[in-house]
Amino acid sequence: MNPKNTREEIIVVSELCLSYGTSLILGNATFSVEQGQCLAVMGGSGCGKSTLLRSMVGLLRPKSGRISVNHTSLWGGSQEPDWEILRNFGVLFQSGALWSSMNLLENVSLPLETFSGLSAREIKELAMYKIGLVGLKGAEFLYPSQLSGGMKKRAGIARALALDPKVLFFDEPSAGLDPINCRKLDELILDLKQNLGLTFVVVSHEIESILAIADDGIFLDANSKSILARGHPQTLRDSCAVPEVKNFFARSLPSSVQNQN
Amino acid sequence: MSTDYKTGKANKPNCPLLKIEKEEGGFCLFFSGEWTNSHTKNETLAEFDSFASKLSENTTCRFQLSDHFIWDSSFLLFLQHVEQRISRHGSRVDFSYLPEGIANLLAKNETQSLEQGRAEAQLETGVSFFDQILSSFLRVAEFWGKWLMFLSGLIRGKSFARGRDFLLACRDCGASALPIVTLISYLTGLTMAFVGSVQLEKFNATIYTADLVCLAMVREMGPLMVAIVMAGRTGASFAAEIGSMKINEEVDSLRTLGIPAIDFLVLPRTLALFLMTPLLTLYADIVGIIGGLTVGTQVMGFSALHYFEQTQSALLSMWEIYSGLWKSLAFGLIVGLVGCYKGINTGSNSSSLGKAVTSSVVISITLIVVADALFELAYSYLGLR
Repeated sequence: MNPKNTREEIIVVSELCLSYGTSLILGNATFSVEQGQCLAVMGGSGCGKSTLLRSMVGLLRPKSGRISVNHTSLWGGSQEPDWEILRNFGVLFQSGALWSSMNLLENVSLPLETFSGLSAREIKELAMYKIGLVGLKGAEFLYPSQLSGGMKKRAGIARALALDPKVLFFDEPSAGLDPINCRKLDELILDLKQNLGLTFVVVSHEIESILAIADDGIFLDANSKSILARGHPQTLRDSCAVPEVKNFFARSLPSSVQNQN
Repeated sequence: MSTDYKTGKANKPNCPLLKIEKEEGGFCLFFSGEWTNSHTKNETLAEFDSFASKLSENTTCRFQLSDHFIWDSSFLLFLQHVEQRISRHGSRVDFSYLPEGIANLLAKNETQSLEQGRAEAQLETGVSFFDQILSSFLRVAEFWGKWLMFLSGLIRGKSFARGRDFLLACRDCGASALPIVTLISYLTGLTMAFVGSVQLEKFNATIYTADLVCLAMVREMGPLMVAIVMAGRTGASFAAEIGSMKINEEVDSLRTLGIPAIDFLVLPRTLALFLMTPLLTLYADIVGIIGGLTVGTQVMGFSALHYFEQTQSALLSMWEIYSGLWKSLAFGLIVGLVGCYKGINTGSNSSSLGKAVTSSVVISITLIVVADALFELAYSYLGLR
């Protein structure tokens, strides 16, 4: 475990409001992500988990509120996010979102070619190393369409790792994966967290993998459009009094639906 | 009292049959036969209406099914209609004789509406028609402005666009388009020669077919035909390619790296098309003239040299050719920008991708024809024709 007692807060989100057009998705969200921790963003479908992630990685401008990364605001005055900050982020999209016209090696090399000052040979070596790191050695020259769902996610992680980011954002890493691959992916995340000291923000509703990987969690709710609970997932599961959170972990239906049946 | 209601095809085996029998305190509705969606139940329902209208208050209608009763969801809907009609007249319905599965399904269909609150959040569309038009104009202006901005960035050497992508796009929209451009412009030249020769023969001036084909090709048909082929071939492929990247979150993943899609995806493609369209037009001009030559030598019997000399004399200056090339530069830009714009603004599902591709072709061709007319107007006002 991390010997430091006081961990640094790397991302601080305060009073964040998100909306698509006129419909509010998430209101007044305040939380923080600590260095070297894995924060799970939980909640049922449609509660704004992915939207929250989109605004944290610079894809959706918040309606109000502030996201600061190491005391610098991500969404400053302008319409565009701060690209310097985003360069310290790696993002894994739900489907992997690999560039389909490039093979795996080119996918991982592109960020390096664009932003690093390395020579072509160094870039190739580095990209090969990242691909090996996620366990895809031998698949370097395959195109995304030739990869299975699990491999695509791994490849997505390799690309997200390309620029040695400090924070990794995962959007539903276990969506569409079988239990075994899901478990392997969890192991990979734990590996990366332990060995590289990375910080993770994982959006998920897969209870088992949340319990396996997360150190901290926030629970979003679709009806109140806010954060209902915050804490270690295990603590939330065992002793949270909020009925929605209880139901989520127990996989039981809310009482109103039960009455109807 | 016993009444039988049958559907029209009663002689068929297993047709749905509803028999209503009076019993103590109400009626028994006895269903038999095959109540599936292979038979329409409208007639039965209409006949049932006349029965239901005669129902007095506080009677109980009991449902009963025959043995080996065959049913599907259309039977459930029929039961719901029957229930509505009975309860409208103040009578009661007794489901208790139905099999458990049917009774459960009927109950479920009533309770399972979407949770409230979720539904209302989706329904806010407080955007007026005027706002929509305004925002679509603003989107086009924003795209155009960003494109110019990134172009100036490229000129100053600050761009994410890769030369490799540019060359690939050049190959895709230039060299790969040669066969289709060859075919179309050759046949255009050929057709014009035929049409022209028939008219000019009346004046015994068939040799002027060469002038006609040459001028029509370099001024109009060359640029126009190439632009239309490019709109259908390359513009549509830009829209489809970028649109599917958008749907697949590939554009988002570029953006999270800080690589703007317009810079990385749009700029190489539009510039490649901008450059390739005039080259293809020049090629199409030549092939079109060869098409005319084929008719001139094979049908009208001129020698190739004679035909070429006549062609050469028709071209008073190189401006005739340049004027067509200027047009094709604009056409290439139109096709590239429209295709990429439609791709970038695709929605998040596959049907919007189809719409994007269709409208990219339609809008490109419309704009090409409009731009062509404007060019001709400008040329003639400036005394360049």
